[in-house]
Amino acid sequence: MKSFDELNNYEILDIPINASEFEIRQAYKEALSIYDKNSLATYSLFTDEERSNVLKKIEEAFYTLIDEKARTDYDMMLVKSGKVEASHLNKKDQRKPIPLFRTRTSIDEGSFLKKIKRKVEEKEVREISNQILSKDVISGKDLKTLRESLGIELEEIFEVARISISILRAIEENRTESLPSKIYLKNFLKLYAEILQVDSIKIVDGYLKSIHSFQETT
Amino acid sequence: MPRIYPIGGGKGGAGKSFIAANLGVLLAKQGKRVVLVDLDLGGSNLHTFLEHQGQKIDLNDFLNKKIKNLDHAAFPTIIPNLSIICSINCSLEIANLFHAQKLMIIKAIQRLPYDYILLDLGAGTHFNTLDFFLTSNEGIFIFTPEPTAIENTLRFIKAVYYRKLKQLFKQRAFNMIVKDLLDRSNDTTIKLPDIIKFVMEQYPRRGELLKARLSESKFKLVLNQFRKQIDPTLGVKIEKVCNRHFYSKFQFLGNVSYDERVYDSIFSKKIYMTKYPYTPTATDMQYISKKLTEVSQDPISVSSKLS
Repeated sequence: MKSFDELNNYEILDIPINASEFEIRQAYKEALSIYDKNSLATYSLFTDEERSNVLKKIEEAFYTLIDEKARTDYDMMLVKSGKVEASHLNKKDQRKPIPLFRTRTSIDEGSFLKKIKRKVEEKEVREISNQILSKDVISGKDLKTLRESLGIELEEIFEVARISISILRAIEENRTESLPSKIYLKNFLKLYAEILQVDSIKIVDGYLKSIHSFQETT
Repeated sequence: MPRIYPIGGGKGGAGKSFIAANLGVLLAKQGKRVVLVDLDLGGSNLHTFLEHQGQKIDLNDFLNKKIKNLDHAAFPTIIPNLSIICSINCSLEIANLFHAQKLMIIKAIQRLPYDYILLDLGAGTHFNTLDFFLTSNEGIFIFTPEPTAIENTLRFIKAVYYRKLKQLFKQRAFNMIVKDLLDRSNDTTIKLPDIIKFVMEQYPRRGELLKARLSESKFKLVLNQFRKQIDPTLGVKIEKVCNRHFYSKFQFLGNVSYDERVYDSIFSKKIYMTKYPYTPTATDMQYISKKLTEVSQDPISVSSKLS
């Protein structure tokens, strides 16, 4: 039987070198569910001594990696001994839990609209909006460019207009199959345009034309 | 070359024969030529799962040298493409085979002219069972989720693994190493894990060879009689643990749901897969048979000769 003797702490918990704290906790829970003395998966596989050794290793690995300072020291040791390349320690692309909702509290509508008003008067922004509004056909991409030039997040539009983010995304990505029926769509576009403080009639007409032509080409 | 799947697992009543019979039916329905061999000598009952009466000629006649070719003991079942070799006529003492007889059976099995050969083994960890299980590198372990079954199965897995090691130790120049170890330690009884550790530490090249030979085995796991209240990741966890702590490879094929109707089919002596083809249990079996034919793309080397 192989034991954990040759494995490093990351291998013991079966996680990548750049694992996030969340992953470490998950892996620790998983490891315990396998190696705990009440676990079915390893029932009778180990002697008491083997099991307590394995559990000790897991415990040690967890407490080293969950402590920021101890982990940095441990990583340095791994790099120095040549077992791990320093580039693998990059924390940038580690996996993190995806929040279901932003925890941000609802925004103050008045100051939000004031902020947009100030933005709209900036020269660069006005150029962009004029260019888009002069078009006959306005696509979702145009709307997105306009929104981003104003520095508005989709979540903020949701907070003010209560249009769900998935619909807002569908509008901006021209996903006609995910769009609501025309009467709702018109209203949503109107609200969207009002928040962006541009001519809502033009936006609604232009966008409807764009999805119409899109539907014909496909 | 045929693909040989020995079907074992330490505990009796785990469903080895049931899985063997119905897996045979499913593989035959995929158009493969399949033969089932009942190697539960002394406890032979595989034919009952297949609405089969048993024939006058069977494994016993091969052992008594009445027939030369084991294939002559194979008889078609009511399922097209599916044949069976029974062992009902084997005398009761036959459960304790002579070594030479065992080798004769294993060699004959490896030569059978079919696409798939499924071996239904008996319970327990008798070394005849273990050697039959090691007829190929792709043995399937059947277990149920009770602690007692898992205990027996893990013990069976260990027993198979150590049996394989023993075969290896006898084959290669490992004898010298074992002698060396005996000379070095004062203890006269040496356990296998100690030998492995010793080989890995003192003879790294032999150790690598040992690892390579052990990793040729790609065992499969099937969790039978799976019930809803059981942790659905249990099989995956056992697969993970086995892969981590043994040098051989393990693959979990899937859960097979518990179904009262299995008993119905056995009591009425009907084939479950044809009587209840659209139950969850049947779907699970189908999934497993597909997985088996998928993995069987890579060639296996039939485990080298026994000493």
